[in-house]
Amino acid sequence: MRAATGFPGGLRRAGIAATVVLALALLTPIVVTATGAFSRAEWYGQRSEGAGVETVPDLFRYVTGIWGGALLRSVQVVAVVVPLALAIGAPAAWAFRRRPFPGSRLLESAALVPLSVPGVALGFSLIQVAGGAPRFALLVAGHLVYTLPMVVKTVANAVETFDPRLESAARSLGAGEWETAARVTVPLLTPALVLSALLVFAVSWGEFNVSFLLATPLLQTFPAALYLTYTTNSFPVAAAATLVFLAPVVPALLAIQALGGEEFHRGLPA
Amino acid sequence: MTRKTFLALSLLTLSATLAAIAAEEKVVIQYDCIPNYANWGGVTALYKKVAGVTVPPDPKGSSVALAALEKEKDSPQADTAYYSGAIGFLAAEKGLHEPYKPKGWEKIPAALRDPEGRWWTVHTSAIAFVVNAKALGGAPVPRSWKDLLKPVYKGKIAYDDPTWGGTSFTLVYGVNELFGGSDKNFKPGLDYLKKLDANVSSYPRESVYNSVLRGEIPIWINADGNGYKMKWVDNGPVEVVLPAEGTFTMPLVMGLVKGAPHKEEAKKYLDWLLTREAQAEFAKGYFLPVIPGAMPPEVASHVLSEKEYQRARALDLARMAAASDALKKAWTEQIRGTGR
Amino acid sequence: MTDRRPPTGSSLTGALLSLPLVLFLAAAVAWPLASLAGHALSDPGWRAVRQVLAAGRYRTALVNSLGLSAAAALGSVLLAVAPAWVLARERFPGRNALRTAISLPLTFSGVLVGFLMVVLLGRIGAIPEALAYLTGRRMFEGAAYTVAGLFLAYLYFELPRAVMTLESAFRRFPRELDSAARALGAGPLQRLLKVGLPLAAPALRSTLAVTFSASMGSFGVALILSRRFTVAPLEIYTEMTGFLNDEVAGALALMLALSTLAVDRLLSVGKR
Repeated sequence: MRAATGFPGGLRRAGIAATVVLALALLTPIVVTATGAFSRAEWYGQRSEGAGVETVPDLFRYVTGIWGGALLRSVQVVAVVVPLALAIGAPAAWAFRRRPFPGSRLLESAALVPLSVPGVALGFSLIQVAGGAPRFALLVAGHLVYTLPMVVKTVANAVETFDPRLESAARSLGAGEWETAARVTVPLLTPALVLSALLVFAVSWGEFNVSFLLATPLLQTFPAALYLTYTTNSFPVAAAATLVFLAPVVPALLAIQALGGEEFHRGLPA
Repeated sequence: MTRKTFLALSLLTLSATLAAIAAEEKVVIQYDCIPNYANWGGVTALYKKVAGVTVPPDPKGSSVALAALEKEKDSPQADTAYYSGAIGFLAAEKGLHEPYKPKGWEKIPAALRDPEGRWWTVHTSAIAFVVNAKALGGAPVPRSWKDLLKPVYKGKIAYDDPTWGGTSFTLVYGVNELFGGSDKNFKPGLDYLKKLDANVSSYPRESVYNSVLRGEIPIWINADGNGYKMKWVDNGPVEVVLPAEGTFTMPLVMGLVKGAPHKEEAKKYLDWLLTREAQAEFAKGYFLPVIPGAMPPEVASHVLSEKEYQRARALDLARMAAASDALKKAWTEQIRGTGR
Repeated sequence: MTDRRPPTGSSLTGALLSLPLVLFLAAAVAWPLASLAGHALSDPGWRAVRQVLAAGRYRTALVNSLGLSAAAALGSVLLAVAPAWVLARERFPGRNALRTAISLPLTFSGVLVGFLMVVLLGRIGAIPEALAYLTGRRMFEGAAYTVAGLFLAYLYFELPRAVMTLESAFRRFPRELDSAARALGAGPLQRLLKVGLPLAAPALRSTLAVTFSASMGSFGVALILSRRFTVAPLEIYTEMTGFLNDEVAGALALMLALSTLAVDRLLSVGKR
């Protein structure tokens, strides 16, 4: 097989090897940690949760027992953040490309600015100006700030790739604006929307900086609970909690790849 | 998926979420409720069983809890808070608590409660070296404050950041008194801690109970009870040492937060914490019951002798509280250094 | 981007469709940040800002943040070039699995990264223990708590970001240029230097910006690992929670946000 770059075999093999090494380096600590949920090796340490936490199922039962609420909260946050991010970001992204208006370019770059604002700084000032607002709303707002840019980018890029004449054709065949949107635009954008949803999910599920600052004991998200687990529970329980955290992330990332890595990479903040 | 179904789905999830939030279970919010400190994990689990009320874990140390209460003065989020003595005293002084005398209040020794009920002790403890002997790598178990300065303990010692936790604030204040300082003169203590810094691996701002048990941190200067629990409950290779030069007792106190959002539930909870049942549960974490006679005999047989505890002196909470901001600041500037 | 905008369509529709985004950005980003700036500016004599910028812990924290973030950005971009190029341009079995593996840490919070670092390089970390077993000597014990450990942890969460961002840029490179250069007899190295790098410069700059800003905002890693070396987000947290010093926390947050934005602007100068 001829290499796409035309790089000679040796260089190509070295590049692939470097990539494999990088992937292994990133995975090793996760694997070492996760093994703690299944291994009785002394290195992982004693369990300090009492007699009820012995077997592997015990560990997971314990984690879902103490952090069930946080898990539910994270699911709730994601369930609100994903549709909201799409509802706010996607129409704007489409408008930037198809119905540009005075100031739309500026707005598009403004939508990416939050990625340069540190989460702690934003969380801090959110509490200062809106501390009286329901914390759940603040939490959702914080997550939206960091996920909206991905939706805008992904959808805007997708809009660019399909021919605007498809939409004009629909209209010249007598379809109204809404009908065109529903019958042509949205179906064409569906892969990008699904992809955005997955990206928003992946980021929101792991968000900690803003969440930690805004969290109250009743409003722990799972990453905040994960922090508590690392600091208060034994290694095997922390390992099990890490696996619970990763369980939905890995399929989501696999789906993102399956849906076209191309879009994924464009969707990332650049 | 058409936009309509999509919108419908979003609305559905939104309303489901809001409904779930509205249907909260019965709760009491306690700031500083670390499951592995003083067996709060066991105590709150027991309360859930006997009263059906959830007291969620909270990772704030005393100092952070105090700061949070102060910040939320106008719209309190917490019902109660748990602190090492001086910090709780300070919270009461700052008007963050409302007077409440829980059932059993009169059984608490007079020195360990505020006459007006703005704070009271739930159990007591002493500052000790919690040593994971196996993790020392062959070095002997340190017996004194002086021992800790030996190069053999380099990188093996940790104590919490006193701006985070009250236990460590008690330690820093106490060490200063022990070496001849006072609430006005921090130099003797800070000089010692500066020397100790050479051997310190970290100043945690989180509970490191399990790191000690696992051996990641061989020597943790913290409450004795946490060490006893490691040794007797978790079967760790752990020894509790009361340093030869002396150490300090620490009352752990609570109070009812002014404007508590779940005030009635909180009062019931605070009453229950002084019952024999709750006090014995604390004792399982080797924090000494404040109600006389609540100490289970097998727990009593596991701790060091009374003679050893004669070296533990009580500190003046009022003076400690008054010095707290200045001492924490001095510690941050001189021990954490300029941050390089 | 190619201009294929339709001839028809009112800009009013566009503005209306973007309205929710405008409102949200105004409420959740512009308003809080403006209030942050307002507080600092209305402060008589800019006391808090001056306090932050005067020599001492706060300024050190800002300088540390800038230095550590710059180092992590440079390091991760350098290390990411080869894997990004391979993922973008080579076809080989297992490529998607590799990409998934590399993208996994993108979802990790700093606290998780800090924890992983202790697992690997703590006092009884997996690496020192393994080395002790293999060589009989103890090495790298507690490296996680040093500045080098902090840097490694930052690299850990920046590398996936750098690889993914660079890869997407490499993918968009026109292959024709490469083929043309090859047709003209240029070797692979020459093509990389003469064609690849000039083309890649904007992508490298924007990847630097992405990784730099992510590092500037990270605080979970330092929360777990730092002993004395401090970074700005950590100081903001300590001032807020330990000392109730909102003025200083606000001024620090403002300086942190401004310096991040400034560096990002600098890096995007000249970019299309």
